[in-house]
Amino acid sequence: MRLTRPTALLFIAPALILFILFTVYPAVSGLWLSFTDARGALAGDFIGIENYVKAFTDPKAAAALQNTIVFTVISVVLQNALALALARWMYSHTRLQGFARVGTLVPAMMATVAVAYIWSYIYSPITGPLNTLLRAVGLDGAAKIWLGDPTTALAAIAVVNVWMFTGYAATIYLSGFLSIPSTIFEAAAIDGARGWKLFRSVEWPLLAPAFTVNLTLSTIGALRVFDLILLMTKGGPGFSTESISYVIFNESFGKLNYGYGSSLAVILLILTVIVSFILTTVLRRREVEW
Amino acid sequence: MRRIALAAVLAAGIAVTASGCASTGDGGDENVLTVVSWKSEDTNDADMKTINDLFRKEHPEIKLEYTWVDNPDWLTYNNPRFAAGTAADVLMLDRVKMIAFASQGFLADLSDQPWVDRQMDDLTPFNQYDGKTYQFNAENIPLGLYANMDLLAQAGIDEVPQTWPEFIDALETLKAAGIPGFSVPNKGGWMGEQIALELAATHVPAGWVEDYDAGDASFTGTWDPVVDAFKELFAKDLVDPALSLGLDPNVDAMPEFQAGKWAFMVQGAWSLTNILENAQFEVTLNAFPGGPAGSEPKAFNFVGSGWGINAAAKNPDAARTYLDFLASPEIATIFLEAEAGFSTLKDVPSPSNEASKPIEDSFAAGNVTPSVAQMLNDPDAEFDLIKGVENIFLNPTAPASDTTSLLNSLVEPTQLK
Repeated sequence: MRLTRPTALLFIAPALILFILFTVYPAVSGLWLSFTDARGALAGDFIGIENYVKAFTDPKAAAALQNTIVFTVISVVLQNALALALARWMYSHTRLQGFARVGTLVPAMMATVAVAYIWSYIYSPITGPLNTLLRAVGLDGAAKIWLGDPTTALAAIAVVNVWMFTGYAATIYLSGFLSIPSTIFEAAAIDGARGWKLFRSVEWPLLAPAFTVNLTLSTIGALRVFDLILLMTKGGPGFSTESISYVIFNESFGKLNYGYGSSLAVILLILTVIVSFILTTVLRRREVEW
Repeated sequence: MRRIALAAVLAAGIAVTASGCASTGDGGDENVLTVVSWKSEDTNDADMKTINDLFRKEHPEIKLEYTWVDNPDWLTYNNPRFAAGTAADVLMLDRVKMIAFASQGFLADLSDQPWVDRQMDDLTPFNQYDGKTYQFNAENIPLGLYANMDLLAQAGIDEVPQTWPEFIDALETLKAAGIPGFSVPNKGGWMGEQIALELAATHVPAGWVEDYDAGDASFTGTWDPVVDAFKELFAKDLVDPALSLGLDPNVDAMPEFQAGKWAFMVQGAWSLTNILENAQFEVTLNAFPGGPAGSEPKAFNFVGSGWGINAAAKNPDAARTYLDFLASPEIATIFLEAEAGFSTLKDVPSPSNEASKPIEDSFAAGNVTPSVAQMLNDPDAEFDLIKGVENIFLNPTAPASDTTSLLNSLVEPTQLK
């Protein structure tokens, strides 16, 4: 059957209708809401850019933005470094590959509530296994009140995020390794490339597509972090772990300031789009073909 | 022809998809009553399993569908459902939530219901918005100081302290005896806020809340004694503020108190049944000794949990029947006994328990007053107070004005119509 324009339109119609209904309409409604003083489900009046002026002068929003950026940097760097190492290890241990692949994906499949509960216990200053272990090996000074100290709480949550998604990222890197033709490795071996040199000159450039995907996905995920923060610290101590998403949640559903909450959500969306665009544009340039 | 057939199939697919999206799940002609509550039937919280089983037995014609949702998620869960027309018929409420929903027109006016005149008169501000009754208040539930009497006796303390100086003395005596004194698990900030509210019951004068919401008062000055009390605990090394911020009330503190490791802990009366079941020691629930020498201990209570009805309830008759049932003396007593709460109905006496006798006496003497967090009109006042009080733990040596200024900036003064 020849695909004509009307037939093509019919094929995409169901998806298009759902996309408009559940993505475009809410996005446009949210954008409109951000220019109003809506409280709860009550329609608000148009107030121009007042919410945006407030967002850019609100110290809570500024602190949350800073926390979000710190969280994103820690998560993205750690997650990708560990995932790359894990994928390299899995690639060179073919016998364990299947088992390791499934095993490392398990944390990403777990409910966030369960993960938050398990790690809250691990971080507990009195009975937590982490401090117990540190003290057992003589590192008493390294034992901390992980989630209760403003200087460690955000990083502690970022570590949980890394733990959850490193396996997921490693699977993408592993498929990158597996897609490199064996002839390239053979040629590299003949040229004497091994270890670090092999990784830097051959594997790393050829893993660029996987790196682009991982970096973009992990950055978007980290910029939107919310659930782990709500479950583990509720943004505390003080405001030290409040992310932009957490402030949006509190403003919208705690204080019912739907208008202001929507303006913060629009800002987060724009930030995420800009960062993702830059990442994909820059990273795609270094992708090579073989 | 093939094109027409293809178009017909796709059109049918779209129609099925669209109808799936638009389904309201009414459940046909069944007499279904949907109830959403933060008291879980599965864990028989507040004896709701017993209560609902009795309702099902007495009203077999109504199919009761009872859903548990965690209290902190209340607005997030219910507000969008109200807006979408899919909220439950009956909802658990308290004053803050009632105002949030009633102000948006989501709740049914219950002013003509038979239980309205039976509710205690002083609860009116907690049941009404804009002159109309929107909820049946099921309990007055106090938060107080749990005391492990065995540990106190071990340290040579015969009675639970009645004033702040006595409390400090008791903690110093316990410390000298090597017994952990006051458990303050403040991860998430809730516990610090509860202790602040206990202290506020003594130090914050009646009428301050109305003045604050009217813009005629601030936290500055009035709340200084509350902040200073915390600072004294920290300065005398009776509570470690840094450690407190890392301890979870449920994961760390409750099991430890039940295991008999701490002498004092602040908690709600709703925990009493569970504590009495697990504790192998004598325990009492007391008003908080927050005042100066010679004063009487005071505490605060949450007015509610209560129950309201969705203005767009799919089964309003069954919803009213359910509230009538909950307000009946027999069922109200079952609920109150499970919660160790005080009665809200003129014709239902408060249940009594030997362990909670001290706080019952304080309530009878008028020394248990409604929570400030609940009386402020800002729908997120509790969260704001949590953040403000957390500041004392983060900066234990900073002047009280640091915290009170922060509270002034966080809690939004809100006047209701």
